[in-house]
Amino acid sequence: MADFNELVQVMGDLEEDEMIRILEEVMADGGSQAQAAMDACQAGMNQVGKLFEEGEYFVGDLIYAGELMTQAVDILKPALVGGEASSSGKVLLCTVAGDLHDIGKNIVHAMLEAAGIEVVDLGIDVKPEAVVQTAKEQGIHVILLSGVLTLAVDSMKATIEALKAEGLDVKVLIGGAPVNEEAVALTGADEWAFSPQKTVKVSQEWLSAYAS
Amino acid sequence: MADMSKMEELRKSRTQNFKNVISGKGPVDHIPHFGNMWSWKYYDAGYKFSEALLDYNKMSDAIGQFCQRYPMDVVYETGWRNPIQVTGILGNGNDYIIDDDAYSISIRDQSYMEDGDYEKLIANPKKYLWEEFLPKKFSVLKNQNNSVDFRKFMEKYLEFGGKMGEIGALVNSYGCCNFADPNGPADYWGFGYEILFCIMRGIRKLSVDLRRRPEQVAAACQALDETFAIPRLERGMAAPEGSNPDYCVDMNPVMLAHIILNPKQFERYYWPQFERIIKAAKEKDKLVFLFIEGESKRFWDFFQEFPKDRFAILSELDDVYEMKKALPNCVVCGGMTADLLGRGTPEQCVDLTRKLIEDLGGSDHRYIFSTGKMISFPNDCSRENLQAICNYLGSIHY
Repeated sequence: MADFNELVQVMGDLEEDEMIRILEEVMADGGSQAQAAMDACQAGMNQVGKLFEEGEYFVGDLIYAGELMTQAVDILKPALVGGEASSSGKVLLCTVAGDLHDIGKNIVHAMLEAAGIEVVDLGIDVKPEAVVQTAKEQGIHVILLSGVLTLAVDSMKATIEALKAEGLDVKVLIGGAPVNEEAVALTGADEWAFSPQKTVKVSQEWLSAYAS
Repeated sequence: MADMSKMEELRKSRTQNFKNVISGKGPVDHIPHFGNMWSWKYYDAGYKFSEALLDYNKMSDAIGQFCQRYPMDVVYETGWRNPIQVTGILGNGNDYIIDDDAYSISIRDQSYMEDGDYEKLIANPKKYLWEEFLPKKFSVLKNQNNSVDFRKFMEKYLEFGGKMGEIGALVNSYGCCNFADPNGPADYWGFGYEILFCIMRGIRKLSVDLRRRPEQVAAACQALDETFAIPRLERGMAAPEGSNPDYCVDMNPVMLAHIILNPKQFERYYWPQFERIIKAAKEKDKLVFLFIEGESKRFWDFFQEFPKDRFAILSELDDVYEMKKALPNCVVCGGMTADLLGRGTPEQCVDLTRKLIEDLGGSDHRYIFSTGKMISFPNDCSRENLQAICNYLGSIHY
C-alpha cells in the first residue's frame, strides 16, 4: 500500500523517481486510491510553495515542480472520478497583450490545478477583448493577469477597463515582475501577487465567495 | 557638434570620475549617470523599432539624437543588443518577434540542444557547437558546404562590427564614455552557465536539467568555461596590471540566467565565474560593473565576498537602499523607477534623483545614478522627465 505521507514528502523534495514509484504503486490495483494520491501531490506542491516563499526554492524549482505535477496527473488521471479531478471552481489565466513571457503564468497554472482549481489558460499576448469574451462565454468571475515587461501594466489596465466596460462581475488579480501596489492602483485590479501561493489562496477565497 | 577636443577631454574626465566612484581612489567631481536606456531611444527619435534595428543609419541617427538631447556619462546600449540582421541572414530570423505597436522584441524560449546531447558537448564543446548545435539553430549552417551564404553572413557580421565602431565613435563625440574593456579578463560572453541558459537549453529545459541531470549540467558548464571563459581570463591575467584608462570598467559581467537558481544552485553553477572575476579584480587591480536583470537579493551573502572598492552593482528589481546596507563593499547603481520616469512629473523625478544622491552617495558621493529597469517601452520614460534629470545631474559639481 502506498505511503501518502511519503508521497507528500517526495513531492515537496522534488524527487521525481520516488514520486513515479509511489504513483505506479497506487495504480497497480487500478487506482482505487488515486484521489488520495492526488491530494497528497497537492499537499506536496503546497510544501514546494512554502519552500519558495522561504527562499529555499526558486523559479527553476517551481518549473520542475510543475513538470512533476503534470506527470502525476497523467499517471493518475485514468483512475480519477469522471477522468478528472474534482474542481473547486474555474479561473481565467493569461499573459497580457504585448508580452510573451509565460514561465510565471505556467507555474501558477500548475499550482492552481494542484489546488483543484480548473484553469482556462488563454496563453500569451492575449488581447483584452479575448479575455472579455472568454469570461462572458464561460461565466468566469476570477481573472488572473500575468506579465513581465513594464508595458504589461498598460495592457493589464486596458484589460480591466474592457471587463468593466462590459459590466462583468469579476475580480482581477495581477502578477509578474512589474506588478506592485502602485500597479494595482494604476490598473484598477483588485489584488496583486508575487508568489504563486498567494495567487492560489486569493483565487480560492474569491471562488468560495462566488460559490456561496 | 561641439569641439572634438573638448568632448574628448570630457569623455576622459567622465571616465576617470566613474572609476573614482567605484575605487574611492580619487576625487568624485559629479554623480555619474549610467544610461540604462534601451529601445526607448529609437521611440524617442520617432522611429519604429523594426526600422531602427533593420537600418543602421536610422539606428545611428537615433543614438546621435539621444546623446545630443540627454547629456550623460554612459550610454550603455548602442545598438549591440539585437544584431538581427546578422542572425537573420544565418537563418535564425523566425525566433525574434518584433512588435512595433508595443515597441517590444521578444524571443521564444529556445532549446536546440537536446536532452541526449550533454555528453557530446562535454566531450568536445567546439566540435559539438560547430557540427551539431549551430546548424540546428541557424539553417544556413545545415549545409556545411554552403560557402556562398556563409560569406554573406561574414559580410553582414563585419558590417555590424563596423557600424558598432562608428556608433561608438559617435557616442564618444558627445563626451560619453566607452564603458567596459572588450579585452578585459571576463565579460558576459563566454560564461558556460549563461550559454546553456540563454542559447542552448532555454529556461524550461535547463530548470529541469538542474534537477534531473545536475552532474551533466556541471560538467557542461566546466567544458564551456574551459573553452571560452578560462582562456579569456588567462589572457586578461597576462595583460598589464591596473584599470584600463580608456574604459569606465574592466569587466562587465551580466547576470541573466540566475533567475531560475536557488542559492545552493547559484553556489554550484554560477559562483565559480565570480571567483574568476574576483581573482582578476584583486590580482590585476581591475574594476567591475555587475549588471543584473531581475533580482539578486538571495545571493547577497555571496556578494559580500566581492573585494571592497572594486565592484559597482545595478540590480534591476532590488531595492537600492537594502542593497547599499547589505553590501557596503560595493557601490550601488540605480534607484530611479520607470514608473516615475514615465508617468511622473519633472519635479518628482528631480526630487527622487536628489534624494537618491543624498541618501546613497554619502559624503564621498560614491553612487551611480541610473534607472533600475531597462528603459525600453514608450511609457517607461518621458522626454521632459529625462531632460529634467540630465539638467539636474549636470548642475552638480563637487
